[in-house]
Amino acid sequence: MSLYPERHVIVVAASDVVPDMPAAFDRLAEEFDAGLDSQVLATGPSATGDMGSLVRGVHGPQEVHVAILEDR
Amino acid sequence: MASEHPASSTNPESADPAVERTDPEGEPGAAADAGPADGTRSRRDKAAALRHLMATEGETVGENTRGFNRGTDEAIGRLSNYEDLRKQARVIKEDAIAELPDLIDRVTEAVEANGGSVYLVKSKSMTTEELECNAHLEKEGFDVVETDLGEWVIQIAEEAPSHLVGPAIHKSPEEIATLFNERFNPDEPFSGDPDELTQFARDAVGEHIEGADVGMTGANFVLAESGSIALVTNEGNARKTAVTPQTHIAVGGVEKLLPSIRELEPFVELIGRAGTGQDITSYVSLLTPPTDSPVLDFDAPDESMEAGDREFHLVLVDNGRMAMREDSQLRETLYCIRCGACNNSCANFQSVGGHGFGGETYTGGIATGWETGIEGLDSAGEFNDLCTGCTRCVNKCPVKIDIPWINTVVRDRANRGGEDGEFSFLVEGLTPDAEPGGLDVQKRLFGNIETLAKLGSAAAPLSNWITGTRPVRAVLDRALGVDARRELPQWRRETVRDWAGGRASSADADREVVLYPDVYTNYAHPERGKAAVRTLEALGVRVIVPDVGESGRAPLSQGMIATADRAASEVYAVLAEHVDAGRDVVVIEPSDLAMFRDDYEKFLPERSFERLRENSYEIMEYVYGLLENGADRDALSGADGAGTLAYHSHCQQRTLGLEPYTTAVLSDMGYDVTTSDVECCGMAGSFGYKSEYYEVSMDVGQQLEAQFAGERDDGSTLVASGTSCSDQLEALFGEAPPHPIELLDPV
Ligand code: SF4
Repeated sequence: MSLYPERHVIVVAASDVVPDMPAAFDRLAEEFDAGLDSQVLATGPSATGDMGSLVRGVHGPQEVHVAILEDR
Repeated sequence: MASEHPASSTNPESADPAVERTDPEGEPGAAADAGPADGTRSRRDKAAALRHLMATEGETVGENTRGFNRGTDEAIGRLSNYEDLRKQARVIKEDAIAELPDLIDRVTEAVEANGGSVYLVKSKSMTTEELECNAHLEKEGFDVVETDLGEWVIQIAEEAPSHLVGPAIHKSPEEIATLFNERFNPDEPFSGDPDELTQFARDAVGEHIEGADVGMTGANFVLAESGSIALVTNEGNARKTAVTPQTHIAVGGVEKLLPSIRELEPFVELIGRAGTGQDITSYVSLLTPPTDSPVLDFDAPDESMEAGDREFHLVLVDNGRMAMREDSQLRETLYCIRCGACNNSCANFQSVGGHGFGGETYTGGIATGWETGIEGLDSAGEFNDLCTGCTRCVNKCPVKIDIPWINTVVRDRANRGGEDGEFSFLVEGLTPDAEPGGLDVQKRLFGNIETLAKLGSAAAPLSNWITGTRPVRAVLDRALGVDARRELPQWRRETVRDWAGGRASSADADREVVLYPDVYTNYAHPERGKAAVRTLEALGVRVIVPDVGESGRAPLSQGMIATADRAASEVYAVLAEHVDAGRDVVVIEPSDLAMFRDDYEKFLPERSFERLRENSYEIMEYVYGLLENGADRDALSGADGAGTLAYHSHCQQRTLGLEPYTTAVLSDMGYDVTTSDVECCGMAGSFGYKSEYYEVSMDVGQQLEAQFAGERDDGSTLVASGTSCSDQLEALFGEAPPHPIELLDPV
């Protein structure tokens, strides 16, 4: 699961990149209908401001890298 | 609320059954004890409690909330369809609450079909989120550890949350370091470095999660169709807590239900932007438990348990919510998604934080609705007066809740439940209001300001001399709660109406308007009324100053709704005649204009309200319109040379989007204008005059003072649109700022 390691590398096909939130939700709704109903919108390293200033890397990864594969 | 065994984080082998608890929205887990406690407490004790909070927590709360608030402004600014999203979110919530019983049935079916179970908890007899869940579990021998770092900090400190989404927002890194040093006795003491503190907390809490038998989470949203829960977090604690232990218990209020994933979108777009200024939070986890994923054994990470042995329990909490749904005034509270924007955008909250402005569980303006519905009127009545009705939260609320109105309604209910006041005889007879006998004398006094103004004006200047004497001020302070440190308004013998009635108005005007003579302009600051009349005349407008009463703003701000309602009808009766005759209504005092444009919707028939709303204007807005339509600006007086102004607009004026007209006209006339961006001057009508709140009001005012200090040193002239703002600026800078219209006065 993506929360335990300190570094999270995401490999994604360019054809799976959607332009905006409405498009993302259209797709989520389709997938929910198909029974894929546990999903996470993850947008970066985990973070907290609870200790006085923004700190990255709390219960989730400290670094997030996204590799986009074209021609897929 | 805190665990008795926080040190057990160093002992993961503990035989105690362990429960991890997480609250994605920082929903508090225990009763507050830092807020005001006793309904009969004197004004002096209340002032002392607030003073203490400002001294100990104010600075940190202020820094953090102002930071979030700026972020929210920026995030909203980046979003082109913000208003559309708010409307969508509002409608979705209205519909969801309307069909709530059905949604409860549907989610129960869905969760059970998925293999989980659902419990509907009616009262706080057993498991509740609002109260004592941790304490209860601990009594039963469970070791409960909060996993949100802010929650964890206050669990260790044994304090109540001070903010809807940042429960430890009142603690500086240094204070957290001291707390950790005392509790955990580390070899090397913490110094207050946020990175170091986070690392430590992450590890300590993480160990608990790995060893826990049960993970308990809240839920920001519950989707009925699929039986899913949505968790919105930045730390990642909620999903970790939900999916690491074998058993997941999600606890949420029934109002969290939405029909399906399709309705979730606007909330995901809005919640982070409104609350913390993030375009989206780090994680939005949509979980439909129990899943088939195997449970990991951290002692033997290579061997996993069989798939399919997870458990999921969804606890839906009613605890007063279904009754709130039936309460036409409180119902709106159920649309709240706990984003925290109304905490951050509130000037009083920025000064005192949620330990002052908050109840048993909830904080800030919306806490009044929640606490009334869940804990009862007593809890809400303790802090409700800290909402001054400035409306700065209104445009920030992602579900368009009229938070000031909820506060007004609850204040009215509290007024009606009050005891007979010891000093009511002092204001009885002066007060032709429609309120119950037990109403607090201070509220009755400020709610009936028009009567006082009339008497004061009729007896001026003698009345001013008398009320200016020390013994009288002492009595006013002690008996009526009018703070002796405030200058009282100086009533004037000749009112604007007197003056206007006795002079010939220009005959060959192109149009006619009525200038609304608000109480302060008419009885205390006639110079701004005169300036308005002369300016309008110079621009070719004939001005009538009608004999019309107070708009109802004063009683409304004290929660005297029946009195305000009556005033609205009376004022409308007078003004409607003029509107019928084709005259626009021009208003100087922004808080009265806000009555005509906004609050009267509650009091007048819809058509009447619309007519007055459409035909009333703020004075500088009107001047702007005249100039745009070809009126002669040379007829007005402009800046002689490089006049520089420091302009403080009025809170309600800004909520109505009217500040730009004033700055545009002043710039057009040749002034160099700087504006303030604090949410409120601190005075907020009668608030700053009240003995128990004087110091809060000055604390809020200091933000404005700091903003304008540089401008003042550079020789700028202070200008303000609201009477209370100019009174406050006078108190801060020792000089009364004029209304912008006075700068245009051709005389
Ligand atoms: S009332 Fe509105 S602004 Fe305040 S927390 Fe709730 S949703 Fe956010």
